[in-house]
Amino acid sequence: MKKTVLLFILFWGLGVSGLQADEVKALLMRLESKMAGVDTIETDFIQEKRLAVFHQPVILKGKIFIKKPDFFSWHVREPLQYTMLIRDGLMKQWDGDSNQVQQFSLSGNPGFSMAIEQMKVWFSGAYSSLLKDYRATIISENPVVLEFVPMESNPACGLIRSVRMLFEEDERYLSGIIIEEKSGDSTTLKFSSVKLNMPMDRSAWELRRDVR
Amino acid sequence: MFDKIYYSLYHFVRRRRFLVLAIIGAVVILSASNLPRIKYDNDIEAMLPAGPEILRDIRFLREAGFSDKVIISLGLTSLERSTDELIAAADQLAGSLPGPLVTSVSSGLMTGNLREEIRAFLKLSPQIIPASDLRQIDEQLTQEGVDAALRLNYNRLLTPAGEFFAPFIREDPLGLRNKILARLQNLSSSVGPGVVVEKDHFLSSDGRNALLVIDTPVSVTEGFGCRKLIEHLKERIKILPGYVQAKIISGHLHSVSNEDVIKQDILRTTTIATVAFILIFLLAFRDIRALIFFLIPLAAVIVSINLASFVFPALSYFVIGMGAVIVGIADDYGIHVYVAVHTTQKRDAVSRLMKPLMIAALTTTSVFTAFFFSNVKGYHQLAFFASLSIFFCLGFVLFVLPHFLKEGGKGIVSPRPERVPSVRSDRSRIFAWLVVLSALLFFSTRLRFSSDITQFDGSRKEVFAAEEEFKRTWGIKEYPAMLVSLGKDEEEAVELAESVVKEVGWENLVNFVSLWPSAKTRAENALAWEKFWRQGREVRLGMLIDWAGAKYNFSKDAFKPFFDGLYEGLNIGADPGKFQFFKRLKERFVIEKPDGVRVISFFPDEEEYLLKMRSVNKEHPGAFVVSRNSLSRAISTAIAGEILFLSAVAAALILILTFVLLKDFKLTLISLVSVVSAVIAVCGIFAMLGRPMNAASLIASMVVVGLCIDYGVFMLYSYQHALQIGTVKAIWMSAATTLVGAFSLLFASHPVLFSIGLTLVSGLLAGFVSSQFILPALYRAWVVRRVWI
Repeated sequence: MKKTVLLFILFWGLGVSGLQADEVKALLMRLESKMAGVDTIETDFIQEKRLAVFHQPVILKGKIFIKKPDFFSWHVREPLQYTMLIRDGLMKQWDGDSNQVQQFSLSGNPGFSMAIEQMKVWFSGAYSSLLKDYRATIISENPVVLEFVPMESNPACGLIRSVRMLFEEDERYLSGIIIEEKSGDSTTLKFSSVKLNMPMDRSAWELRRDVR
Repeated sequence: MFDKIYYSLYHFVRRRRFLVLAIIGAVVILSASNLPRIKYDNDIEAMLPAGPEILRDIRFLREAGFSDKVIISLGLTSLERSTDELIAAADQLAGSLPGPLVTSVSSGLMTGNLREEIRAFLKLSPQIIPASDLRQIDEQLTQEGVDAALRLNYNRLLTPAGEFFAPFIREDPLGLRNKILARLQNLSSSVGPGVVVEKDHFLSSDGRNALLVIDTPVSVTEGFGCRKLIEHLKERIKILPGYVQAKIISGHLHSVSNEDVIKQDILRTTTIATVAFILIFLLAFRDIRALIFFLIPLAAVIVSINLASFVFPALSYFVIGMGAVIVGIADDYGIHVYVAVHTTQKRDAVSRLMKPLMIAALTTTSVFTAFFFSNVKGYHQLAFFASLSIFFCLGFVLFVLPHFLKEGGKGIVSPRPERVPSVRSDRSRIFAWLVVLSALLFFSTRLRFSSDITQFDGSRKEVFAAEEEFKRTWGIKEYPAMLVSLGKDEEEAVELAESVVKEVGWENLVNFVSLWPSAKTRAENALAWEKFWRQGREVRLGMLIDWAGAKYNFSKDAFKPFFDGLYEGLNIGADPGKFQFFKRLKERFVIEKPDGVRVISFFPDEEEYLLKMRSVNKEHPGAFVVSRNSLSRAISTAIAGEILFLSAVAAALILILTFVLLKDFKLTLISLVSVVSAVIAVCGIFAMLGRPMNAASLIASMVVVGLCIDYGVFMLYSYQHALQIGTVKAIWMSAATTLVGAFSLLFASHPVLFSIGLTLVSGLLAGFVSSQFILPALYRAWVVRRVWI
C-alpha cells in the first residue's frame, strides 16, 4: 500500500511538473511572439539596489534604450551621472564624477560581460532560450509574473538565487525585474513611460550627461 | 695488377653469365616486391644539422608537445547563428573526439565557476604581492587615498553590473589585488591576442569562432599515425551542423600533406623521366636492348633502397626522391660501354673504358661519400643509397653487360671521324663562353641564400591558407619565443625563472612566476605582508574606511571580508592546483619531464628581445632561449658551414682522383672548366630567376660538380689516349639522360625537389656544353699548342 502511495505521489508529481513545464514553455513562446515585433524600446527606469555593502538602499533613476539586436544604452541621471553604451561587443562608459570615458571589449572582461549578457537577455525577449540555463516557474498569469532560477550548470548559479520578471498587462513588455542574489543582495528595476518601436533620438547612442 | 683482377673477374662472369644474370634478376625482383614493406618517413629533422644547441631547441620544441598539439578552429558560417550555438557545436565535437588518437580536448579553461575560483585564489594574494609593493600600499593609507578608492568602488557598484563586483570590492576595497588580476588576464590572453575566455570557452572577440586544443600521443614525425589522426579528426568534424565550419591547424597535417606531395612528385617525376628515357634510347640507339641502360640503374636503385633499409631504420622520402637523379647519373656507364662496344665492334673495348669509368664513378661517389663526414643523418642515407646505386651499376656494366652486347650494329654507333674546328672557331667559342660566364657571374652577385627552414615544407596551398586564416581570426602575428628555465624540481626551475624574469623585467615576458612565485619568495612576501599590517596599519585603515565609508553610504560591515581575510592567505602550503583555471594555465607554462622541470616564459620573437634575453641567460646557465626565428637562422648557418666543409672534402677528392687518372696538371686544370662553368651557371640562373638558393640546392650543386668533372675527364682521357670509342657521342647521350632525370624534377610541386631540379638542369647544361665546346678548344690551345695568331 505504501508503495502504491509513493508511486502515486511520484507519478502525480511528475505529471504536474511536466504539465507546468509545458505551460511555461507555451507562455514564454506567447510572450516571445508578442515581443518579436518590438525592434526598439525606450523606457525610464527606477532601480533600487539593496546591497549588504550599502548602509541604505540606493535608488537610481535613468533611461534605457534598446535597438535590436545589438544596441544597448543605459543612462543614469541620479544619484550620479553615468552612461553606458554597448554596440558590436564594444562597451563605452562615462561618469560625471571622473568625467572620463572608458572603452573596452566585453569579451576581454568575462565577468562584466556575463552580467551584461544576462541583462540583455532579460530585455531582449528571447525568453525560451533561457530554459536551457534556468528553471522557470509561473508565479502569476494575469499580469504575467515569471520566476527564473539558474540551473547548476549555469555560471550565474553561484551568484543569482532568482530573477522575477513582471510583465505589462498587454504583455508587450516588462514592467519590472527583481533580481535576488545568493548573498542576500537584491536589485529591483521598475520601468515606466515605455515607448516601443518609436523613433529614437541620436543622443541615445552618445556618451552625454543630459539625456532626459 | 688492377687490370689483372679486372680481367679475371670479367672472364669468371663471362663463363657463368646466365647464372649471374639469373641471380641478379632474382635479387631485383625480391627487392622490388619488398619496397612497400620498407619504412619511410618525411621528417625534415633527419635532413638538418645536429649541433648541440639546435638539437636542444628542436628536442625541447618536440618534447614540450607544442608541435604535437592539434588545434581545431571552428567558425560560424551564418550570421543568423549565435555564439551559444557555436559553443554547443564545439562541445559536441569535443565530446566525440577522445579515443586512442586523442587523449584530451580543451575548449576553454574548463572551470565550472571561474568567478568563485578566482575569488578563492585571490585570497592567497598576501604571498603573491611582492614585498616591494608594500611601500606603494603604505602611500595609499591616507585620507585622500582611501577616499579616492571608496569613491571609485561606490561608482562601480552603481553601474549595471555593480552587483557582480560587490564581493570583489568587499574583499579588496583598495584594489590591492588588481595587479594579480591583470597578470591573470595577461596569461589567459597569451593563448593568442584574439583569444578570449568567455562562457568557459576559447572564443574570438566577436564570438563567431571557437577553439579546441587537442592533445594527442601521435608525434608529427609518425607518418602513418599522422594520417590516421587527421582521418579521425576529419571523420568526427562531419558531425558538426552545416553552419559551423572547422579548420584543422596542426603539424600533423603538414606531415600528411608533405608526404602526399612528395609521393605524387615521385610518381610524376619518375613517369616523366621513364617516358623520356625510353624515347631517347629508342630514338637514339634504335635498338630495343638499349632499354637496359635505363633498367640497370633502376634495378640498382631498387636493390640499394632495400639494402639501405637494413642500415637505416626509416628512409627519408627526400633521399628516395633523388632516385630519378641517380638513375640519370648511373645510366651513363652503360651508355659508354654500349657505345664503345658498338663503335669498335668489339666487346674488349670495355677494357679501355674501365679506367675512366672507374674514375668517373669514383669522382661522383666521392661527392656523395663526402656526405658521410656530415653529422646530418639524412645525408648519411643519401651517401649510402647513392654510392651503392652507382657501384652496383658500374659493376654490372663492367662485368655483366658486355657479355650480352652484340658486336656490331647500327644506329648511334656509326663511327665518323670528328672534325677538328679551326683556330678561329676555337677562339670564338672561348670568347663567347667568357661573355656568357661573365654575365652569369654578374647576376651571381645578386644571389640570395634563404635561411628559412619552412621553405622545405611542401604542404598543399590549402594547409597554408587555413593557417593564414587562423592567424587572422585569432590575431596571431608571430609565434612567440620562449625563455626556458630548467631545474631538478619545480621549485628550482621556478626560482631560476624568477631571477631571470626579475633581471629582464616583468613587462617583457608573459610569465607564470609573476602569478605564482617560488615557495621561497612567497614565504618572504607573506612574512612581509603580516609584519606590514600588524604594525598598526590594519587599525589605521579600519578608521579611515569608517570615515570615508560613511560618506559613500557604505555599511559598517561593508569591508569586513577584507579585514577577516587579511591574514588568511599566509599559508605557503596552500595548493592552488585545485583550481581548474590555475591548473590549465600552469600546463602551458610548467612542463614536467623525468629529467627535470621546465618553466617557460614567452616574449616576442624579435631581435631586440632576443639580444636582451641572451645576455641574461649567459649568467644563468640553466636558462636558455628557444626562438623559432633564431633556430631557423642557426640551422641555416650550420647547413652553410656543413656544405662548405663537405664541398671542400668533395673538391679535394675530385681533384686527387682526376689527377690520378689524367696524371697531368694542365689536363686536371682544364677538366675543371666544366665544373667552374656549372657552378657559375647555377648561381647566375638562380639569381636571374629571383629564387634564393637553399641547402637542398647546395647539395644538388655538389652532385653537379661530381658529374661535370666526369664529362671533362672522359673528354680529356679520350683525347689523351686517342681512344676512338665514340666518347663524344656517349657523353651526349649520358648528359641527355641525366638532364632528363633532372628535368623531370622541375615538374615537382615540392619546393625541395624543384630546387634540386633547377640546380641540376642549369649546372649540368652548363657543364655539358662547356665540356663539349670549350674544353676541347682549351685542350687544343694549351696542350696541343696550336698557334692562335
